[in-house]
Amino acid sequence: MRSLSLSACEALSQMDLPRFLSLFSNDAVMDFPYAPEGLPKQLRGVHGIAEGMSVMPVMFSSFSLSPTHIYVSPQSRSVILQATSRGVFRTGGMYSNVYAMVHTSNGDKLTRWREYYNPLKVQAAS
Amino acid sequence: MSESRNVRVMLQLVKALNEYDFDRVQSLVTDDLVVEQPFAALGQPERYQGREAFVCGLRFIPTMFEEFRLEPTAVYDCPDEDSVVFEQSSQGVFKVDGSPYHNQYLMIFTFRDGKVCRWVEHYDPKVMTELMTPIVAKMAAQTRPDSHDDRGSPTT
Repeated sequence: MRSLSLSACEALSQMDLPRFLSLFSNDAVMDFPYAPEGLPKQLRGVHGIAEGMSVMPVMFSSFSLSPTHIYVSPQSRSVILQATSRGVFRTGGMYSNVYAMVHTSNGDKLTRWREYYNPLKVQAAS
Repeated sequence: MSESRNVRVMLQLVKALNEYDFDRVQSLVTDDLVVEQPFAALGQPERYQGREAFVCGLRFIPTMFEEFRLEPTAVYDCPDEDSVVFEQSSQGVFKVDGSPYHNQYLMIFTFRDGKVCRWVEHYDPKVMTELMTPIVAKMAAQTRPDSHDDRGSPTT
């Protein structure tokens, strides 16, 4: 569980979307409970996730997601991460944010990615 | 599926919060409790330490809310980290004008000797800013000595 979650963070940091998507089940769901207006609150299915995440390499020339704390919940097959990000927009500006995430798996693939990010940082960057 | 001691403590703590029983809350956290609010808004500190400061902050809740309830929506027991993670939602009613408050939380609680020693609270700062800013202004207007607002509290 822990390694699956960390692999997903690593793939995102490398903006390696094929590898990132390969870690999700076909019916996986990504939730963004704090997403401000105009940004998705949810991406459904691996195709929906692919479409939603495809903006990343368009938007960023570099991006890194660094877990700072990791908690493993074996009973619920979930990993909870606190993380920080740093990115450089292709337009030249810098981006950083703070996250709390819940990654749930079926033991093999991620089935749910629930990402709490600071929406004020997103709004400030847009 | 049995509840661990840490989960039981957290459920007791949420119940105590919902009942405004802050003495009970105080008994469930360590003296040197560290509170982190990574998405802190409205001038709240991102981090502070000490049970007294924490409980002092909690005592503000009944002055602002007629009702305030936290409802866990998902519980993650993390025994290796001696931690419990709650996803929660809140429902509240502001005293000053009866308007509703709702937020969503991801909270991480780390334990030492059966008590919470680290409390990390993620809430939506946008919701808090948008809903609380006008409420704080109304509360300030009602408490100004020169206020001629004689409508009284919505609870009267």
